[in-house]
Formats: sequence, C-alpha cells, structure tokens
Amino acid sequence: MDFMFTQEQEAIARVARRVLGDHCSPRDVRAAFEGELPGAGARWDAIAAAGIAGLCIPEVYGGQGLGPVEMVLVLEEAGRVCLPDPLLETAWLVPALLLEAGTDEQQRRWLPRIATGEVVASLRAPGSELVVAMDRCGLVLWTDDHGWSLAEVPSLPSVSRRSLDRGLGLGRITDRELDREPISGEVGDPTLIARIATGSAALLNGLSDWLMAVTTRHVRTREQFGRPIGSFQAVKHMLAEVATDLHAARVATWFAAEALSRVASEAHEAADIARWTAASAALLASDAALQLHGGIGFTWEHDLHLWMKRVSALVHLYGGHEQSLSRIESRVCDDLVDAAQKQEAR
Amino acid sequence: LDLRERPDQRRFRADLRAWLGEHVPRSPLPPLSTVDGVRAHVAWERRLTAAGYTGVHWPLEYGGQGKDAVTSAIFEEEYARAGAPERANVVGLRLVGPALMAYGTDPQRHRHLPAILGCDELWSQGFSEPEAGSDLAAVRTRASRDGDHLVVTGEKIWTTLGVHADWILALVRTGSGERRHDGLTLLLVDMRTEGVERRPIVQVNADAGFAQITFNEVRVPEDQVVGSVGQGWTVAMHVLTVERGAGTVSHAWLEQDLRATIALARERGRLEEPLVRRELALLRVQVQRYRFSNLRALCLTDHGIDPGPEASINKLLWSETRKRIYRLGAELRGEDGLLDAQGPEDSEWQRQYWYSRAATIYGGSSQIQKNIIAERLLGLPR
Repeated sequence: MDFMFTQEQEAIARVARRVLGDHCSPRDVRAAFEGELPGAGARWDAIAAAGIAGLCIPEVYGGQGLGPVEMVLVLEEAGRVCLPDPLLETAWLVPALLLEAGTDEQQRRWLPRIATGEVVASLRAPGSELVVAMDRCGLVLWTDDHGWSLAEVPSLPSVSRRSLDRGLGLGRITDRELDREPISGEVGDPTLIARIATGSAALLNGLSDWLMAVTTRHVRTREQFGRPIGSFQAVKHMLAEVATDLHAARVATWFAAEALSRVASEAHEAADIARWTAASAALLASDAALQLHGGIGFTWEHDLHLWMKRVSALVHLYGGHEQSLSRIESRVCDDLVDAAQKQEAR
Repeated sequence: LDLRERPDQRRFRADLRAWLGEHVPRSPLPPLSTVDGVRAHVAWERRLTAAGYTGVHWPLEYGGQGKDAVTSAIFEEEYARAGAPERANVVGLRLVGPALMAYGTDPQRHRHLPAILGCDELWSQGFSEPEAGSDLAAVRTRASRDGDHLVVTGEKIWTTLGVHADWILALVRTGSGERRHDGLTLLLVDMRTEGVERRPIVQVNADAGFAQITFNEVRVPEDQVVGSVGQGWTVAMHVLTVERGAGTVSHAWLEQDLRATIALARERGRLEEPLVRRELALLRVQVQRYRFSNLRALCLTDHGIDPGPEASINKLLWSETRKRIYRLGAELRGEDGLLDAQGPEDSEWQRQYWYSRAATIYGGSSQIQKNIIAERLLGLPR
C-alpha cells in the first residue's frame, strides 16, 4: 500500500503548474469572465502542446495514455489558476466516453483532434441541463431518452452571458439544434458520475488552495490594532479549520482517483465522498477568504470573486454536491441495512 | 499511488483475524479502572505478546515485530473490528518505548523494553499539572540534584491509569534556563518509591480512570533520566508527535461506533427520518475522510517523512468525529438515555458517550491543534 505519488506523477503536476501558470494569469481569467475569447485559442494550444489535452487519450491517438491519478493532479492545477477552459470535459470525460462506447470510426475521428487541441469537447451529463464552453466547443455529447449521442458543433448561439461564472461559457442545448449521431456502446453512468465527482473535487481543491494562499498572505501582512490580523486566534482557527477540511478533501480525491484507476468496488462511494468534502472545503475557504479580506474582497476590482464564483459553479454543476451526499445517504441507510437484514435472516 | 495491500499485508491481516476470532474474550473484561480489570487486561496483554501481536511497529532488535506503519495500522483495524479489549499499556508501548529507543541508554532499554512488551510494567504519563495543561512548558514539579540522585517534589494530574501503574514518565523542572523550555527533564520514576502518593479522580462517567500523583521528595537515581538533564522538552515533543501521529487511532473504532449508531436508528424505527439519514451520511463522510487522511500519514511515516502538522489535522478529524457520532447516539436514545443504564451494554455506551467528550481535550486540545496548524502549516505569526 503506497499513498505517495511516483516521480513521473509529480513531474506531470509540475509541468501542468508551470504551463497553466504561464498561460492563465488572473488577468486572463478576468478577460474570460468579461466574455473576451481572443486569448483562449493560444492558451488551449499551449495546454495541448504540453500533452495535457490528450492526457487520458491512448498513445495510438496521439495522447499520453495516462489515467485518473495523473488527471486529478493536473485538474487541481487547473483549479488553482481558475482555468476557464473545459479541461475536465475535454481531457477526461469525453475521451473516456468515446473509448468506452464510441465506434472505432468515432474514436479515430475525434480523439486525435482532441489530443492536438484542435477540438474542445463538452457534454451534457445525466441529471444536468447545462453545458460548459458552449461558446467554443466543437464536439458535444449528451444523453436523453434515446441514449447517448454526439454532435459536431459548428457554432452554438445560445450561450448565456448572464451566468454566475461567465468565464465557463455555460448554456443549454436543445436536441433540435444538433445533428444527432448515436453512440451505440454501453455507457456506465455510475462510472461517468464518479469521474465527474472526482474531477470536480480536484478542480475545487485547486480553487480552495489558491483562496487559502491568497488569504494567508493577506492576514500575515494586514495590520490592525498594531499587529498582523493573522496573529489573532479567531483568525488562526478559522484558517486552520479550512486547512483541515482542504487536506482531507485532497486526500479523499487522490483516494477516489486511485480507486477509479483500478475499477475498485469502492470507487463510486469514494468519488462521492471526494466531491462532498471538496465542495464543503471550498465553500468554507470561500467564506473565510471573503470574511478575512474584509471590504476590499467584496469589490468587483479584486480577483477574489472570480475564484468564489467558480467555486459556486463547480459546487452545483452536474447535479451538484447534494446528489453526491444523497447517494452516500442511501448507501449508508439503505444498502448497508439491507445487507445486515439479509445476514440476520440467514 | 497504489492502495492495494501487499501480499504480506494481506497474509498478516488474515492470520490476525483468525487469531482474534478464536481468542477475543466473549464477554467484556471488567473496566481498567478496577483492580480486577487491571488483572484481566494484563492477562489479555500477555496472550497477545505470546502470540507475537505486541509491539507490531517496534523494531525487531527491541523485541517488536518490525512491521511498517501501514501493517501496524492493519493490526489496529482488525483489533477494533474484533471488539477486542482496551489496550492496558498504551503509554508504555506508544510513548515510553519509542522515547527509550530514540533517547534512552542501553541499560534503560534492557530493563524496560522487554518489561513493556511483556506487560510486566504498566506505565503512566506524568506531563499535565494543575497549572500546566495546554501550556505544558509551565510545569512546576521540581527535581534538584542530591549526589547521584534527583529529588522530585510536585504534583501531576489527569494521569490515566495512575492508580494502578508501576512506573511513570515524569516531566520535571531541573533548571531555570534562559527559555523556560530549556530547564525541563524527563524521568523514569518507579511508583513504589517512597514519597509517591496517588489519589484517584472520579471522571464524569463515574470511572476512576485518572489519578492525581504527588511527589514528596522522591529520590530518583540519575541513571533514570531519559536523554540528558535539560533535554526534557525535546524528548517530550518527540513523544507527543508519536502520540498524535499516524495510526494511533484506527478509523475502524469510528466505523464500529457508526455501525452501532445505524443499528440503533434502525431498532428505534428512526432510519426513515430525513435529519437522521442526513446526519448518518455526513458521519460516514467524516469517518472515511479520516481513514484516507490517516492512511496518507501512515505512508509518509513508512517513507521516513514526518507527517508534521498533519498529525494535528488527524487528531482534529477523529476526535471531533467521535464526539459527533455519540451525540447522534444520545439523540436517538432520547428520553430513555436519562434513566440509569439498562444492562451492561447500555452502561458501556454511557461510559463511552461521556469519554468521547474527553477526546477533544486530551492529547492536545482542539484549540492547541488549530494553533499548531495555523502557525506551523500556514506560517501565521505567533
């Protein structure tokens, strides 16, 4: 049993941190938030060139052939810089769906283009109505009564500029707008849901880590009553509680990714636990950050709100953390009890 | 990142499970706070020793099993699941043993380590004092030199097993020192020495688990100093890191408590209540996240990396979770919990309920842990 990352995994996280840090500054996040797309193309090219877009795509299709553990390390870095691009969807969710259920032809057509960065992909997940990156995705997958379908998207008009996190390019699609092409294979919804939960958790952990870092720096330097406010226990304990929750959330996310990578029986529950703990930690981090920055953090001008709004979006997107907790609840209160009753009956 | 158990770990687990299944006493032993209880628990400890299940994490050269931290945690996990008795010599095995391995002399190791493993010496920890709780460096018990002896006078309090222990690891003040941490020394004190008095303290759960220990000019040979005179703070901090550190408390204890609480909710027909269900789900999350976090710290330990402030995070995670599980249990019992215990199982639950509320105080209170996290992990000013 080894809960440590390999040198290769650590190197992948380092590269992701450097590339994302170089190409996604707070200024870029703000530009995306204001609805400016020009920088997005160059940024995505750099991400693809570093092998990040094709991280989970097999080498025969031009990807790196890596798995969930590497993916969550990279997604945490994407969360840290508040990356506006749909990395979770393009690099993990869509390729995994195509690999599981797509035809050879569909895989050959789309996977290489995703790996090179030519195509950004998105999806409408079960239990969700929204699609991210509506303004820039070239491929979208969705599920309805007819099962899973995919469509090439030349351009989609229906992006809502009035969403909470305008950088994400959130919108709704209606089936009428698209030329449906069915995906015939069997899609394991629980596994997709587990990937969404684990990936969202990793993104949230990155966001929380940035919020913690910025807030810790602020309370170390901001003085009131003649001393740094970070020397007051009320402030210390607030941040210590966030640090505790965040540590637990990161460890839970790594655990879930490892379980997913070897299709372990507890992967689905671990993913839900990761998502719930990461969402709780992020909400707490967001609250502490705003509270401890005081007035300046409440301004449009400060970057804090960009990260806080991303937290809100990721907490509620794709069915939200509430659905994760509901599943945990029925496992604990129904499944385990059923098992106990069966055992008693025997 | 590979969370599969190694073949040797799987084998260790299977063998242990079989052994425990055969040997764990069917009915609970009398409590450790009684003379009968101590006798029964010591006998149980010796069966563990004979079977090779004591000192799992101790190095082979000191008579231990030489297992890594993860395997040692597998032991704790199986032990908890089997419902085996409370461990009697935790202070000896977790504090005194490791302190002597790191800082003791050869004669001290020869004398005490086998006696701890064989449970021939029951140990207690003499750190807290009436005026030194969270502020441990404020200890006032003094030891002054007289020839080749140190003469100890002062008071220790909240000493677990203090009434029955044979030995005590005492933190005493030997010098004034520029900084108050410098003048401290750790001593191995035989409780039968003249001038040692013990008075039981009855806890809120009606157990006399603690004691107040008075040292009245107790003469301790100087070869009973651990490390050197004035090195007490360093050794004590080492010991406390071990106490808080990885694997001290198995998630399996929390799992057992939670399972019992789910069963209680079912028995009382309250498993359909939305608030009860929600709280059980949240507790499941709390228990699992502690499991993951503890596992991470164990693996760091096995790689020779000190988990540092992560130990404080883990202490907060398990102690707060334990309290919350028992709080739900009390809610489920409702009015019935107000009557005197109905039978031994109920009485054990009552005892544990109150004891769960000590968890956020002992071993460094939650407030102290948060200070450690804020100052050492986040670098906030003192």
